[in-house]
Amino acid sequence: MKKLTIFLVFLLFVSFHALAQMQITGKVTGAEDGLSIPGVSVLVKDNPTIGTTTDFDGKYSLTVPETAEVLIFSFVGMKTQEVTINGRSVIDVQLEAEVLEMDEVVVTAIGIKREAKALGYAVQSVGGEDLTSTPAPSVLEAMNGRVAGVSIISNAGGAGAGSTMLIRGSASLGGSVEPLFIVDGVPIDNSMYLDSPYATEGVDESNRAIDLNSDDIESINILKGGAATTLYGMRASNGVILITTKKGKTGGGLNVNYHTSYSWDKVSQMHPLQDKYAQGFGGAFQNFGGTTFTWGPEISTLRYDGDKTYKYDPVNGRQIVSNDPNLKQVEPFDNVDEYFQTGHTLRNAINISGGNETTTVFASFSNSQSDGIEPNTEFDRTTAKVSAETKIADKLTVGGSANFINSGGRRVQKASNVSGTMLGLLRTPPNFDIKRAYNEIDGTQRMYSSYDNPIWSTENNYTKDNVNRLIGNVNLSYQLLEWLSISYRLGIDTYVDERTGIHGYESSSYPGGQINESRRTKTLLNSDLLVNITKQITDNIGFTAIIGNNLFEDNFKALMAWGENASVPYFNDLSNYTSVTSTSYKEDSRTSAWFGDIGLSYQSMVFINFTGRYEKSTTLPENDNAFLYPSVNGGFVFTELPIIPGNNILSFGKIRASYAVNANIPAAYRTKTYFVQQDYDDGFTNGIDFSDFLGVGGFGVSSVLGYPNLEPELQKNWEVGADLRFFNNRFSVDFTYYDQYNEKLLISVPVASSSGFRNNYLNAGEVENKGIEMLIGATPVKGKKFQWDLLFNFTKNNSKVVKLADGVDEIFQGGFTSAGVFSIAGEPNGSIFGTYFLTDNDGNVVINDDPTDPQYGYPYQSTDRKNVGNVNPDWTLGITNDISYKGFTLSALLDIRVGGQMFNFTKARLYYQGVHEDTETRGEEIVFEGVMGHYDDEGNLISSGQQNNITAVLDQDWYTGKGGSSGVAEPFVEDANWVRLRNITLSYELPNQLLSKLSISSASIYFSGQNLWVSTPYTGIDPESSLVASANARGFEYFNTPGSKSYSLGLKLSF
Amino acid sequence: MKRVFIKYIVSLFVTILVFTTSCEWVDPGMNNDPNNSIDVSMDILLSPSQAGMAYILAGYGSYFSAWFTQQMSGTEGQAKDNDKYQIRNTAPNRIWRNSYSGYLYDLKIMMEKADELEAPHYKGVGQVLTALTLGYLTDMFGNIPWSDALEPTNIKPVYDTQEQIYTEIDRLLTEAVTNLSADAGLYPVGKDDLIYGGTTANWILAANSLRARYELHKSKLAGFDYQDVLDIIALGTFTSINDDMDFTFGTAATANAPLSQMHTDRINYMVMGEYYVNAMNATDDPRLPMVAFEVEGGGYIGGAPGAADATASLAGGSYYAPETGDGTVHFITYAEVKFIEAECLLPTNPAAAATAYNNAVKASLAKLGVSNTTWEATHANEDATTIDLETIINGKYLALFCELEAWTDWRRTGYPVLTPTPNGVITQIPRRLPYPDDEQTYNTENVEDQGVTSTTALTKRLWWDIE
Repeated sequence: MKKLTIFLVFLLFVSFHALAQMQITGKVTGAEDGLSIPGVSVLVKDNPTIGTTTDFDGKYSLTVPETAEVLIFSFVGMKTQEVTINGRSVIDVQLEAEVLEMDEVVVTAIGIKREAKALGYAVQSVGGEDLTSTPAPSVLEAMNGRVAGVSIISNAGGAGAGSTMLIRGSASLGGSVEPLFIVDGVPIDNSMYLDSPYATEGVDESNRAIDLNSDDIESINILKGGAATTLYGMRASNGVILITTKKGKTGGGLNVNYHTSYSWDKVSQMHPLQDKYAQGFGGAFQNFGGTTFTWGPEISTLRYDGDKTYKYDPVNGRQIVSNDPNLKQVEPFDNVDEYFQTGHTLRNAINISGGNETTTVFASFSNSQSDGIEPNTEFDRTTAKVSAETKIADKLTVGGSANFINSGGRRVQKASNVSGTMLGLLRTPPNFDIKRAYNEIDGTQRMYSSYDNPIWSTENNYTKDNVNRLIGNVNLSYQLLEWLSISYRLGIDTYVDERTGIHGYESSSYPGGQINESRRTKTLLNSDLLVNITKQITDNIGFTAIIGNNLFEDNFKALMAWGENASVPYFNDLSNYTSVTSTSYKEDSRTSAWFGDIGLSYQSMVFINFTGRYEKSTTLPENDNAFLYPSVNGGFVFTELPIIPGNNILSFGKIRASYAVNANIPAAYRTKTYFVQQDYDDGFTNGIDFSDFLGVGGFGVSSVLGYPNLEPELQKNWEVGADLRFFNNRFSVDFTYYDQYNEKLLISVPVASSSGFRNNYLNAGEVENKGIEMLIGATPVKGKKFQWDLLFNFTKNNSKVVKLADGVDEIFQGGFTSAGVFSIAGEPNGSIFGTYFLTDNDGNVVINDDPTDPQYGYPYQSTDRKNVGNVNPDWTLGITNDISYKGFTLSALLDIRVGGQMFNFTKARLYYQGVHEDTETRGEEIVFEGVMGHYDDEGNLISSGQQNNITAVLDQDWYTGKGGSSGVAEPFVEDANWVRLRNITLSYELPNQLLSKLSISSASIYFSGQNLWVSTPYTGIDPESSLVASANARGFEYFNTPGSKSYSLGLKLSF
Repeated sequence: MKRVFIKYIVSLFVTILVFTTSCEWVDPGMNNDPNNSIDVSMDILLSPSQAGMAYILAGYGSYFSAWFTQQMSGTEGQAKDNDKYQIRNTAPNRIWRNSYSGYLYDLKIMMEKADELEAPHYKGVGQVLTALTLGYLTDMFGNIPWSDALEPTNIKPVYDTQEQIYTEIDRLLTEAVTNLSADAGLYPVGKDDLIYGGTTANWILAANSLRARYELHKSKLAGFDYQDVLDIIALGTFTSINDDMDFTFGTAATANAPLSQMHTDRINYMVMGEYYVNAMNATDDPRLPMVAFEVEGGGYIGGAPGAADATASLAGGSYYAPETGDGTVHFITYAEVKFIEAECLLPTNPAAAATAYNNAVKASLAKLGVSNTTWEATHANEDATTIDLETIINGKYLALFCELEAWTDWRRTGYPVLTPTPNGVITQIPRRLPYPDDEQTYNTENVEDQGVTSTTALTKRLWWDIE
């Protein structure tokens, strides 16, 4: 098989030259094991069109012109060797395995390859191996816990649910805080489209990076600081995720890789519910169809009356309060257990690659199919990719790639929404059985009260999305002179996202049914022209320069139509709905830029780089639409100093520093004031609007003033760091300290309406992020058969909202305005803002000691709100552990998060409803901790300061009052620390002897688990998830889809 | 061969370079929002300005007058609180937001266009509407921003005194008459004028009628002369109910009248006031069924102020089109002009005053479509011996249901004689509204300069409201 493939490669790619004047033969073997190596490329140095590859026994035979002097032997994973012919006709070569060198080359901004040691800023890479060692739902999730300074916030655990990424803290208040994604030099879109930016209902949406196939990825470089990203200009101030995909290898022969895996997902952490009390209010039983509350009697007092005509239960009949022993006793149901299912994902990916000396080709195909942990949820993705590069002429290389993706799923309603599945599930009293979703007598929805039965909801309320996407590029480069090359790349990312959302006939949200059809099209176009100069000026001084031009265009168009009230129930076509409305939205913008990068080096010791980008944007004011962003960075490899003798203890040491100015591009259409269709309302009524008003049109000036002096948001950041490696790389420390000061942050500032407007956009806010990133690598044991590698990545980011605009104390970021996540001046960005218990001057909670007051013995609730929590962790630590013994490798990723809170608003509401486990002890007496006191008519505290000793009762009044979701927020702000075994994988590399008989070059199987163990004081669902898929609004839980843990079994084969 | 090849390559890159640098890639026109209009014509601005004034000033804003003068009583939510004089700072927010960043700004833009395009009729209509809005606002709040307002870059406008506002109202109305009398040029006002359908003659009558109203507001001030008001009336004011400046809403859900929408959305929020219903019941006034609903079991009962009596007659009878939604609100009517005339003639010519009064009451009945000669023979039958100020203002109070003038008249004359809400947070009927929360938050210093706080505002008298 292998021989045949090599032969094919031979036929396809290798050119023979007839004018043979001399024949050379030989054998190539490995230096370490002495085994022959097939497929090694053998080339004549001055004439690379003459060459061959070794056969199955590692032998080659090549006819070369007499003028040939040197042969080049190259093979993937081996050091390339040049051998002088010297008239020999037999040349045997031993190739050495390639070890990762100090001179590691990394891909930096605009695809510029640089030696890692030459960089004056931190870059961290994640290899494709790490991304695919265990199956993850998306590339983002696969990076979770592996990169210092980066946090991934999962929207939820639903199939196809999105994630957002935050690098070095949030750098904007209202603008995008997402990093820029670049695939092979082409920016790609990572949008997540929601019904509204603060959507607290609807379905879990995907972010579009989910379309990337991890198995196509060679490596991901994370550019964090300004100096690393400034060449990308106005779209990169939140960092850049630089993805390099796999390519065919020059002379690498034909390579086939196959990866398949199967995963099982289970819901991880869930709210504990009580199973003692039944539906009702004030202790009185209410039957199905009645109250939403579970403040009824004990279930043990209920029996079935046997009425066969009762629509909710014609089998057992109605539940009644009775102790008649002839009637069947009511037992509680475990609805949570009933509802969740085991999710499954089957992934298959195959790629084929090959190349000769002039042409490389890579093609891949992948498919994944998931069923979520909630019934009737799905997400499927199919990708196909082909890329090729060829030297069509001397010094001229052309290449291109096309990646087609189809993805989409079936999603169900979530969160603050009477059709929301978690809301319906968790609020259901334990005496109601959700499994029976339809009334057996009339087939209508069987729900306990006014919320949709969650199982009915998954079957009848859903959104299906279907995305067709193409990411591609063509490029060419020309080596004009030895030190000068020119290259050009044109890239496109375009997709159509079509969705159909249905609320079924009889749903609680839309009793008449609702349909929502939308189509969103997005196209990003990118053009890069680069001139690259590399010149060694003297023996000691090296010079590099890059001058480039970039053009970028972003087009978005959405078309939406929705209808309400179906004429024919359950017929889901727009034509069937009686009131249909539609709208469209378009947004286009362009930028153009000139950029340059000048690098100077002295020996291998001192490196300094200057960069600048001069950029114009259509979203800036016409007369002031260009900005210049400079940066400087430098590295000093002090171990190269002659005064430091070469030693084995400190093998490498570098310090680095950088300063950069970067910017965040403002959204389109903010510079002008527009006329909008006018409407008026008085707060009591819906008011009037001119969509239909006495047959006349009516527009008025928008209440938001355009900002003709709009500037981009500015980010000034500096960074220092050190890279130290000891004992020949057995131990390494990479330390970074950064300070990012974001100013001119755009805020929609509310103003006095007497100015003519209600809101002005202003460049007013300031946010600072300071932090430490540390990477510690160690290889405590390194033997022939046994190796143990450890990698610690530590992140600490302190964010602070330094300033908002005058008259603006806080900005709502997510959740609910009554209790949610806000940006508050003087506080970390991402504060939980809510009501609290009143305290005395010493911070003791005041307990009402006025016996005439019905609230006697209870604490006081504040009327105002304050900062009651911070969603940002103090620090996080990821520990990657790889232990390998012979063919076995055990990898574990332990993820630790310390500090930071989460707002468990679900729990507050479950208290209010009387379904949370804590409400099972209802009626329990308590002495609230605090001091006794009360307030006089002027609001002054009258307190003796004496410790409270008044007994109060935790009853329905308490939980539906101050002690639940309509009461004090503070007690529901919980620590979201965790220690989690994010990943553990055991893999086994099958022995070569076995494989070679099957013509398989390598094979491995693995078994892995994600989030199998999580230890957290947080009492809700997995605190990693967030209701709002926005990095600025994380840390808020309200009936969102819970996280999951999963087990996977996988197989990888290479031919 | 090779040289030719290099030429191709070089020319290819040069082409790319020329393309990427020469074209105007960053086209400023691209930043014009395609989803919203960058410019609209005057007519598109006029209709919603009128509708907004009708909905907010003659609707929501005038409810305060109705609560304070006990024409109506609030029974739920904010309506109930307002009835007890517990006026939250947020309550007037919508009056200011809709006025300043709504129709006042839109009318300002419309008038700028009118200047530019030489369209004096649009200018004149804009001036009348602007003057009227200022009149509503100043009679509710006293000093308000104007000469410094509506300048987008000035986010903290200083306030003008109420006296300055009154001067401005008079100037705008006087100029409006001049503009409306001029040739329309290329831009006559047309069907976009939802008040008069472009009939400028009516606008001139309305401008003069409004001048008379705001001149009369100064009745307590030193130097006031009733003759000045009569002189304005002599310039030409309304001569029949057909001239009334009012606004009729539509039947579409998005075009329903304010009281109709209250009936739909907040049916239990407001009932009729006890004083008003009792006064009408006393004479079996034919207008009552038009402005109030019968209670269960028949008849009309008013709710006592502050009592939140949900069993009383619901407010806004058939005249306010609770079912069809196309009710009418009044800005100024022929009836009001006749009441103004009666009040001004009273000191010098009581007989003429009595005639004007009788005509005013008859006009009010005719307006509601309930003209009744029998009833009028008794109750619109004053003469020189019976007519007095209390009769005139009480009659005006009954005619101007849910119109701001009723409260203004009470502040000006003390009629009708009302007993304040017994359980009110203050012991007297409010004489003004507090500045809205928006102004207090975002224009703090200028609000503070007005010398009233949220609590003192209610009782502090306006400039024309001297003791």
